[in-house]
Amino acid sequence: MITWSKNNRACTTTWSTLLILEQISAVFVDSSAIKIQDFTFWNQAGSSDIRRLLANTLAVQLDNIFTMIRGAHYESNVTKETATSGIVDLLTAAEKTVNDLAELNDRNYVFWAGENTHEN
Amino acid sequence: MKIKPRAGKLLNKVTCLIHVKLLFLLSVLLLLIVIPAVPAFADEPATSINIADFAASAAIPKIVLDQALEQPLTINKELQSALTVDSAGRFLKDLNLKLVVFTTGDGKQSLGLHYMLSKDIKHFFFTNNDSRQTGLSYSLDLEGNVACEKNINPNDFLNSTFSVHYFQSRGGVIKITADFDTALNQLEDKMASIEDQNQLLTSAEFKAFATALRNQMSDQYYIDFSAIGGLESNQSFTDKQFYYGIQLGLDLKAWNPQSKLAKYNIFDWPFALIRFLSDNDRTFSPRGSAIPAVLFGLDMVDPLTGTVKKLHQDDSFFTRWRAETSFRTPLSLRNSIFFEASYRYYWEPGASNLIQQNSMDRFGYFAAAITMPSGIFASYATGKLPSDLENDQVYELGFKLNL
Repeated sequence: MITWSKNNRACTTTWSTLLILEQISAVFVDSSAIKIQDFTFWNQAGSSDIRRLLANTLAVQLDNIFTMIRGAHYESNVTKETATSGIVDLLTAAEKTVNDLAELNDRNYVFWAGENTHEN
Repeated sequence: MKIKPRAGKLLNKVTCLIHVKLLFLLSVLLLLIVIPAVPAFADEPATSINIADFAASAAIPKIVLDQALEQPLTINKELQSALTVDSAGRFLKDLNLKLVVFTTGDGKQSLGLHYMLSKDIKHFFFTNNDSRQTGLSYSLDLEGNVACEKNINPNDFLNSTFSVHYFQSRGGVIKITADFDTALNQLEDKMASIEDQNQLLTSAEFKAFATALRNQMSDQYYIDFSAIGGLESNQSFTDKQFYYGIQLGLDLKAWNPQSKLAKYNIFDWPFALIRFLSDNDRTFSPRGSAIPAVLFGLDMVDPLTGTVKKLHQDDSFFTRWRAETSFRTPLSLRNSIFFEASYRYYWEPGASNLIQQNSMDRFGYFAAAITMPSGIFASYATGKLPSDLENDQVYELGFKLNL
């Protein structure tokens, strides 16, 4: 498990993206332990089929924001398919956390670090 | 949390037995999906599996269950610990288990487990142009409720599904042409340093960041057309049916709050009013992210055993339409309080008089809940699902543990 830190761009970008998509509302320091089942999209009353549908929509949107707005690109040996599939899997696991999502994103994406560089 | 020695022994016993039973249950469910229906399952009740019999046997004495009923929170913590990546149960890391207490209208209670496994096996993209994606994926979904006393299981419905999906996603994001990645990073760093929620949400950095990002967000349309195969049953497998069919899922999200689609989300208007009146929103702001999703399905169902099989007599398959909608919206996003609702409807067109007389041609199931982060929530469910033969209106209390 990665250390939840403001110095890790995967952590801060995962958190801020979920904040803007209104899936969570907590400040950064309090967000790492938030579970997927506490995200706005998660409906415990619905079937797993419909939760998977909602998870897919959100996973595609997360990937779009990372790559098309935040300047991230995929790590070597990672494709859009594997990155998106991994996010969908995680978003369908109730007990996973924001930290788990950030760790997954840290493995799959190289985020923009500024000044024409990317952060590993 | 310190666990007293007596409670610790009890927890070890119950946890160990639960692991064994669940592994067995999952194995059986997977086998029932992949092995074609064979006469062995048509012979009942000798070959049927009664989960509750495990509880009634010497494996889990009633006195142990009664004691466990008084300590669901502690047992839940043990369960989650056993399923962590570093524990011996890490091979079950994708399996979600939650201890629940089922309660009937007359106050009877039973300890039980809710399990869920949802696995996206593979994704393929055929086209990927900016915010337009088309592709294929494969997935496995297992979910159900198992009560130690089977007669006290208001949601006695196990479902196991394998599916192949063709999907399309349009919109969601407008690709930027200006170079403001660095500026967004700088704003993000400042936001991450703020430790007070109210201060964060009213900060100039958050407003600038939100405006910049949301101006690049658009309405997202996600369509999923899938072929599915699965098994539905009650927990004792005395009623079970195999099905295959097709399914269409539609999900629409207006990620930009200024979108017309967001403003006209009438399903969220009552809750937008609550948020406005309770000062959780400064203005009346329906959520475009809370537009309900819908699913439609057409299944060919092969009842293998039980009452449904008897009612269909010589018919090996029958047609069943189904529809589902799901809605969830914040009552207070700052305090993580949500309202959620789900409605499912099943209909067998052209059913025989016998089936109609037994009210087995149509099923409607409604569930709603108010969820909070504190570990206690209230839910309400009414109606019935296939394989559950009684209409029942029950209150289910689900215990969430803050780890």
